[in-house]
Amino acid sequence: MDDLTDLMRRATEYVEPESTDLVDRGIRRGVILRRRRSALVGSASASAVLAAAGMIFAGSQLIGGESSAAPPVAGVPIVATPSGTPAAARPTRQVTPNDTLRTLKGLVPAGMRVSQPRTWGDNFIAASYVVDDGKGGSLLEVQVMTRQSQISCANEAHPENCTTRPDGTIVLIEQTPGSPVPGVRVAAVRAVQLHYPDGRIIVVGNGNSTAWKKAPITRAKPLFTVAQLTALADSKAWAFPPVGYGKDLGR
Amino acid sequence: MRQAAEDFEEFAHVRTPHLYRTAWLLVGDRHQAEDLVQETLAKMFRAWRGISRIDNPAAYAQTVLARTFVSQWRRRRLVEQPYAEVPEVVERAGDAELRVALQRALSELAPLDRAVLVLRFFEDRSVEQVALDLGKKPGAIRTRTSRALERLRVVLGDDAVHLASL
Repeated sequence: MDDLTDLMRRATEYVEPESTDLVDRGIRRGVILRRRRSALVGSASASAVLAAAGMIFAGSQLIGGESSAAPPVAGVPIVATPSGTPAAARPTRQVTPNDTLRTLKGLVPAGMRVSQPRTWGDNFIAASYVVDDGKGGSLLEVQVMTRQSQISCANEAHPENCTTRPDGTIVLIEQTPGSPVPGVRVAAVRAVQLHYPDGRIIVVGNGNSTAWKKAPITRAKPLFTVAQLTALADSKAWAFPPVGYGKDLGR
Repeated sequence: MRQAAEDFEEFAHVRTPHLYRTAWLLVGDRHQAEDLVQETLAKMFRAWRGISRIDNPAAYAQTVLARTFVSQWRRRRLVEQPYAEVPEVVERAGDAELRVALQRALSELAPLDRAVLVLRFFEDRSVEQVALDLGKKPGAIRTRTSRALERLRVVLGDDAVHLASL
């Protein structure tokens, strides 16, 4: 149908984008996608959400830690301390994965049992525990990094889940219900990302299973609410690796 | 690495106008078309280091755009506007009429059928190539093409002859 070809080409002859920064926006979004790919190895439906949170599944490194029969650990209650003033550029000391794991453990509320400690990451640091309040184990994972570029809510794939605080910190929320298909074990996920103006990034994720996929669903919903995860991410106890941290410096 | 970034930026500037026109045909809305192009450029940027293995990066970018459109529709169920907005700049009266009529007709099609027609007729690709692009069998592409064209004929009716003569 040559007429349709001709119609389409004539109809679009004078069609041009209104934005003059479309290429720049595409590149900025591409940087985000490239960094997410470096952290993602899974491909199940929940992975799309976890990719948005920068979560990964493999590459875990057991460093020893409590057995599953360990007594509940008393930790610092999760307290929200958001800043209403522009975030000062705090110096980033050379944090280690063990530091991050200890911080995560210390922020788990008192009376909850923690088990299965893990750390991993190449140009970021990640740590996780399975946290149990007596109603079923719940994977709690954190990732920290620092980079030079910054995101904006306008460029996000889901800007409705993105807010900008008065100090310029960007908050991204992701929630997925998990797979409804019987026998397909994909955890429901709640994840919070904080992108500080000075380049520090923290991602905190929580699920209703002891793993993101291929593990039994242990509870109806993730243990922590979005507000609690946000408070955990906001904690001043976190230390961040510097820009360029890790072995994959070419990304 | 800087050279690769510069190469991509040059590629993106050259290809964006055509990507946008394709996106506009697919989604029928300027803002959604820009979002689709942005996402396509982002995916191309992400894959740019391996681009030397691709014979035709420009054609590949069009494929990525079509696939992104189909997958986004499946995830988000984009709300299609029944009528296209009137273009702000009208070089000739016939152009606005043609754009509105074509967008209205394309909006009557399922997104996958729309993608098939745009790839086949705007991008001038073969049935076999479109099948590869969209992950379908050639027979399915032929069926969709016939069905979509018939639908366009019904929607456009006598306008098809009129529009072709503008």
